[in-house]
Amino acid sequence: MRKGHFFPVTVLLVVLVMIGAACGGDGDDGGTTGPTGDTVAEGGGTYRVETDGIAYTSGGDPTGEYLGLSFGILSNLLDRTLLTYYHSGDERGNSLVPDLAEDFPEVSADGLTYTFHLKDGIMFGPPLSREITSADVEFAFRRMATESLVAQYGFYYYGLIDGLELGEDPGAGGIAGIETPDDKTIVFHLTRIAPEFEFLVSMPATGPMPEEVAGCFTEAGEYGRYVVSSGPYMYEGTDALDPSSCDALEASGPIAGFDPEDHSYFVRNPDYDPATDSPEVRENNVDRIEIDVNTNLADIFDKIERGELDGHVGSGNPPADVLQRYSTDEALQPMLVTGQDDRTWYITMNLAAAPFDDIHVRKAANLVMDKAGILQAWGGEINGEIATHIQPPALTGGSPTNEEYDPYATPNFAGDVDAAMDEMRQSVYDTDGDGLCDAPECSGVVMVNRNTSPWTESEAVVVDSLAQIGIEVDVREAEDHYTIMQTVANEVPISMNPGWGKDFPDSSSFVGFLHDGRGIACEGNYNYSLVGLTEEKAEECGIEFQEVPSVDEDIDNCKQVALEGDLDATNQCWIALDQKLMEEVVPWVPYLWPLVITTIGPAVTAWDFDQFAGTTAFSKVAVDTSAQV
Amino acid sequence: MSQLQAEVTAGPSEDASAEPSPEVVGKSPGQLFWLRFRSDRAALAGIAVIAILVLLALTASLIAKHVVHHSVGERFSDVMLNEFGLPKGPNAQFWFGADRVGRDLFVRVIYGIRTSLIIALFATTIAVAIGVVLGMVAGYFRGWVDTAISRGVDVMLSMPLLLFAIGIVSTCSRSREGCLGGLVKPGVPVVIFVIALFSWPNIARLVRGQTLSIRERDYIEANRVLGAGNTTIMFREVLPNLVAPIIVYSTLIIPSNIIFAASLSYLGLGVPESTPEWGRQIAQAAPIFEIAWWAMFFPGLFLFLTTLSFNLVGDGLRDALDPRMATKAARKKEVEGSEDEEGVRSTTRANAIGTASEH
Repeated sequence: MRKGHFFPVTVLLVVLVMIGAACGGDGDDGGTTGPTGDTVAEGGGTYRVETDGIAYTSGGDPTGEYLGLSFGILSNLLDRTLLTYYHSGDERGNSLVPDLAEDFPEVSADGLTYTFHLKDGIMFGPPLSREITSADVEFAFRRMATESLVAQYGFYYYGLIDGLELGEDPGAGGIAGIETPDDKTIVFHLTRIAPEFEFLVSMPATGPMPEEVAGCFTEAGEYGRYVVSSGPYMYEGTDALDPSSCDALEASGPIAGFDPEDHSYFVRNPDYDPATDSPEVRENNVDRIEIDVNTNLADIFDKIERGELDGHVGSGNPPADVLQRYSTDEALQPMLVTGQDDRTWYITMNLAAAPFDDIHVRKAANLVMDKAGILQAWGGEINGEIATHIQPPALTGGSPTNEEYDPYATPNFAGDVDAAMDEMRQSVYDTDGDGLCDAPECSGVVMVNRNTSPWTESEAVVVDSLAQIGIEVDVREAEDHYTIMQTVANEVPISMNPGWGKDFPDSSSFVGFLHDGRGIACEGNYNYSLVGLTEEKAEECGIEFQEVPSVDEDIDNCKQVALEGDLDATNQCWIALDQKLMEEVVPWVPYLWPLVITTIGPAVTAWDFDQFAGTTAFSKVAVDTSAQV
Repeated sequence: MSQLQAEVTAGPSEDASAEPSPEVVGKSPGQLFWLRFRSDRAALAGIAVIAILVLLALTASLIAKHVVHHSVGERFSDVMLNEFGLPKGPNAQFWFGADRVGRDLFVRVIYGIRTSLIIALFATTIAVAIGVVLGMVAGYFRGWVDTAISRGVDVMLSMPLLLFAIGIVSTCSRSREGCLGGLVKPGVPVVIFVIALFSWPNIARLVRGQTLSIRERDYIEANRVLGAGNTTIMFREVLPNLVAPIIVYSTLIIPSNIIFAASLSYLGLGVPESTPEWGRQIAQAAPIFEIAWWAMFFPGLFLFLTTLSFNLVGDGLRDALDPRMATKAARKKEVEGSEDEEGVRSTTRANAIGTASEH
């Protein structure tokens, strides 16, 4: 072969290799069936999972973890909180139940004092193997107050609990609003009435932490590989830690069974007493849970189908070809499982950046968007429902659905160019009144997007839709898309990457949080649309101030209604706010209320969905070891 | 410096009864080049394929509009995507089937020719311009100039190419202004910039070596004695002798640059999703190859044909332009010659060319 022809042949070989990689596996389809859900869960065995990546926000440190998958691991396996959820996907999924506490709190008449009494017999696992006290719960809040530990959702607590502010570790008894009169009692004093407080004490960061171990770590992410469990499982190898001193601890660690970049192996916590728990909350069927990292998503689902794995966890649903195969094969259908994600995927528009500082442009964007095309790019209707307003209906009692309320309704959700152009004619950016955005600000509009599927597939739909009303976007696909969006100074006009899932099943953590102008942060911002932006905040963040609508008063009003305890009135208030945002502010083009979809292996005999975490309920899985490959 | 062909005339045979030797007519370098090149069928095939690709690229919009009746960004979700959003295969209206979002893959592939050729040609031109100038300066002046430029080449060649390329493209794609004060804009420009940035060192090294050799020749010294300046000598005496290797090398790095651009697009960098590009198309098709083979096959096929064609042409040019760089087979063919061709044997021709290049 002539030397010069070597290169193109190499290209051919490379293409063939790509084809081979795309084929994956050994071509031996599994296709075996397995009973799920209907049989009595068997005990024992190992539940084997692979993930294409667990996006730890703090290396596994409960104080800083803020994504659903780590919530699921902590809440199901490692971290018992004062109150917890049922870890199920049924109607109880968003309901609270006492966990560390004997019962729901005693609440003072003025609603400002919450008293919890801890159960007897709940222990920290190895290497401590000691009973958990109220001081351990207080320490968790002290860690949230410690700035260097970067408590990702500490903002819920700062200023709410009297004396809890971000700064240095205040020390034992240093938070005025937290009292520990004895080892079994903890009292919280709030600065204002907060109906959501019971949800707040169910968050993993509030779970008890041993100061003799966690206190050795003062920077974000360090404690993750030394976590001492209070739950039914622990990381394999935790018992090898030496807690006699911080130096001895670090010398004996980190825990071999946990490497955030590679694997998470869980074994039973020998100090866990099932009598202190409820099988309705945690069944703890398996002896061991293995989560390994595998960046080849296709390979993961092939293994599940062959029975070499029992499940997948990750940030996305299975690829469209896997969904098609499982949906159309009767033998595979039982192993395709779903759960309601309580999330909205949306396109956000910056109210302070042209051309989206004009409400008519924002409304036109809503009218022209081919949401059906976006859903199809995501893999079809199996992936969820088209979103028509801010908040998933589940957070307000199941309504309004997209059929009940769609302020920008179009035929088959495919967009209505004519209606969009009519709206655009009212905009200052349509200089000639032809229904197209034609001002200079309408071209080269930067739009941030993720660089992963299905966002890259749906990108063409969004670009095409906006082009029909004359908005030419210049897409920036980025791995650090959230960082770009969360930095206000970047003044990103529009982005299609974000989504928001509830932190807890209360509208105050969704519509009441995302559009609160007082919550705008120059870095780490979540109010991407800058609703309620003030001149002071604009100056602080280094952007030009523009008058934008605010719904701060509406948010405060709904929180006040919530205090009165009338759930229907509360839901109606939040629904009204949602509608006001969609019709009078228009910060988003919401497009999808997704389902969490995954497949389980043929050896799985029990599986449930954790509605709180939005992932597998690890404490409720079971396997038939004889059926495992 | 023109190359003159010595005219060789056979003398009369001592045997008066023998037929007189045929008169030999010399050929110009251009004729010799074409003679060699046109005998290389592989190279001709490469030329033909490139011509077809260029024609397709130039007429892509006309083909899309008047032949296929599908525009490049138009989505046909209703007819070419199934209920799971997966594309359907080739049919009478969609010759290559649909891509991942329901667009006509045939239209996207032929538009992709434009993207690849534009990137490759611009990047190659910039790299060659930089490489030739720096290589010539280094080889001509030698000394500290040569040292400085050569060390710069060494540094560039020792960099992990793909990692740096990924970093630069990612950084310059973060904002509309791009980087270097807006000089390098996101999208195709940053891809061209990165490819050119990492391509010039190789040609600089090649040109430097050639220049070192050429500058020692007598005619260069003669020009210096006659008072010609360095710049004049470089561009009027040295550069013309570099044309052949520059052309050959340029042709050979075009396919490399096409692959480089496709690799960056495969990783989701540089060229936006809306711009048809084979690497991006292959990346989107990879996860669904088992059920949509066409989505990867056709862009891969065009990528392969394009790179193969340029390589064949480059090989042919190399053999035809500089016999000293010709392959063994090509040299053997020239030595044997063709019986029905007039002209001196190639050995003599080669020597004549070599001699004629020096005053």
